[in-house]
Amino acid sequence: MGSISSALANALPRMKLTKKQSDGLTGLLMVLPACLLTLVFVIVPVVVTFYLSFFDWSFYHESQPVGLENYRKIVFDPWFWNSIWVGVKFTFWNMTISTLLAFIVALAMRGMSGRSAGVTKTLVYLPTIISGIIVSYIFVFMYNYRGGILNTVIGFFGVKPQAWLINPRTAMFSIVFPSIWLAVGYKALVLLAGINDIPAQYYEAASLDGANSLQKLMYITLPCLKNVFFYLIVTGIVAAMQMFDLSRFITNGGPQGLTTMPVLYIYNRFTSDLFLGPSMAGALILAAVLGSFSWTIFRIVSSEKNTYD
Amino acid sequence: MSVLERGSTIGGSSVRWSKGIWVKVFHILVFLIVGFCALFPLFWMVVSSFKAHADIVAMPMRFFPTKWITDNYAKLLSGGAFSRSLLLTTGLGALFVIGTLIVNSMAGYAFARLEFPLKKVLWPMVLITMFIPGISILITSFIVVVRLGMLNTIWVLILPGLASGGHIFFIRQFYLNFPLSLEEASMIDGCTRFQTYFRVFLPSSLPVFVIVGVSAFLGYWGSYLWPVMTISKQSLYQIMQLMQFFRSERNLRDGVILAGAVITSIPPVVLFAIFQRYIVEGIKISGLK
Repeated sequence: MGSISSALANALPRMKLTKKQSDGLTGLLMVLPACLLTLVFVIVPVVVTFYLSFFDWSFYHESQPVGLENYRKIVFDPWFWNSIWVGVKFTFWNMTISTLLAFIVALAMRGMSGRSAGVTKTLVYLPTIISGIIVSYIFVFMYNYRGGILNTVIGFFGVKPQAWLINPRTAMFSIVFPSIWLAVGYKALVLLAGINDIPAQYYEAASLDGANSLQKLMYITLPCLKNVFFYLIVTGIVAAMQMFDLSRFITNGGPQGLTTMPVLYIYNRFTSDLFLGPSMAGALILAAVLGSFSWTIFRIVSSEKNTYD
Repeated sequence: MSVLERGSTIGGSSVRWSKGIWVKVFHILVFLIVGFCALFPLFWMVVSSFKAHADIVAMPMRFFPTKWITDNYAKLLSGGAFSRSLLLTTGLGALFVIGTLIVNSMAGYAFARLEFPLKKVLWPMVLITMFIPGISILITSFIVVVRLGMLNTIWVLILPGLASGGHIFFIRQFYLNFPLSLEEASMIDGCTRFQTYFRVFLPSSLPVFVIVGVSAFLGYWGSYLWPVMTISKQSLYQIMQLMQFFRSERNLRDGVILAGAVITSIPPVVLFAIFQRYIVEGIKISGLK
């Protein structure tokens, strides 16, 4: 690709193209691979999903248009709403705990500098890079009935061993906990960057007025981080609602669907159901909500800095 | 430990919250707590991978093995399927990263610096992909690759995820900040637009390429859902797919799975260790735009 476009660009002056035309051609050729791939693997699938959501489509026979039947099916499927509800609960626990912890870590880390700051940042971020499926395995072994660390720890306090993953009361917690371990690092570093951007004069002025640490936190740090929190919460919600690995590999959606996240629900239908129309309709409903969520935050964040053309 | 103390002294003395020794103690404490929470699960994984099965299911648990054994690793690596998949996934991951950087940086440059026909149509098209959750196209992407005859080829693993609205946007933002004079100088020297991109922009792109490249590799390395839908030939199994296959189909014992978890965590950790400075410092630009 590169050599073609540079060869063309080289040949252009001889063909007496104006600079504008030559820029135009180079530009088109340079975006061509990205746009082609986007078209084939994103735009076409979206359009096809939308189109097929009105058909009783399957891999094995001719499909018939069925109008809104697929949407009716999915909207009246209690398991679809169950997966949404599970997603909302998971997202709520994941977001509140991980954002709070990240804020505490970021506050604790401000004022560190030099190598200690570098090493601590690296450690904080480390869990983020471990693949979700590997994290699932590690935590499954921690929850093991026999030999698991959790049962050993509660054993010290005289509590009997628990089957964490199949107990309806602990199953959700067992996927939320590793998700927090995965999520805190990134959030903490983003918040830390936000905290370090707050001008020191604000705090100095507040100190002169006799403000204490709590007042500085409430009236300077938190308001200044409003946009950072907003960004983290919206992107975090969109990511958490689409979490798949932990619910698939730690609990496999159980017990009784109590940890079946929306993506796992769609995946299960895809692997078990002959007719994919309802799954596509469900995926579209979810995507519309999540997509408009992230679109809104993008408009708000970028309108302030004018990054969107 | 000496590094930590030296660093903390600097931290304690230079900053306005400085209260001498207590700040220093507090920072060491923060470091230890954060380090413990981040490392404990990984440390536990490594130690347990050297345990015999009896040690793994011992109650109450034994943190350290009664006898350190390497049987789990021997079992995992026997037959060669694991090491073959490891090599294949690493190789394809590298290819994926190179492709990602080429495709997205060319587009990022053109969108940042050039005026070309259809730009007003193509830019929103690329941008909108940032807001399309993967879940909505999971099934139809599968239909598309079936129709293209790409199942069970390496192309199905590499091509669909290559172009990314997020990466193009990120690289474009980076290029927008390049001084115009840099570009003009190279044009005066007789470089074409493409040569300017190649000789002036690419060599200065390391910070942004590291962030995009590492995130592309981590995404590729950890992917399970897409390979499991599109690859059924065992010789093409990607590493996470193979791990899950070992665990559910072959019913390999916990120790062997843990050994596999240790080995498959090495490439991401090594990559992170090499580039951690760029990644950790890059949080600022990527997070707040």
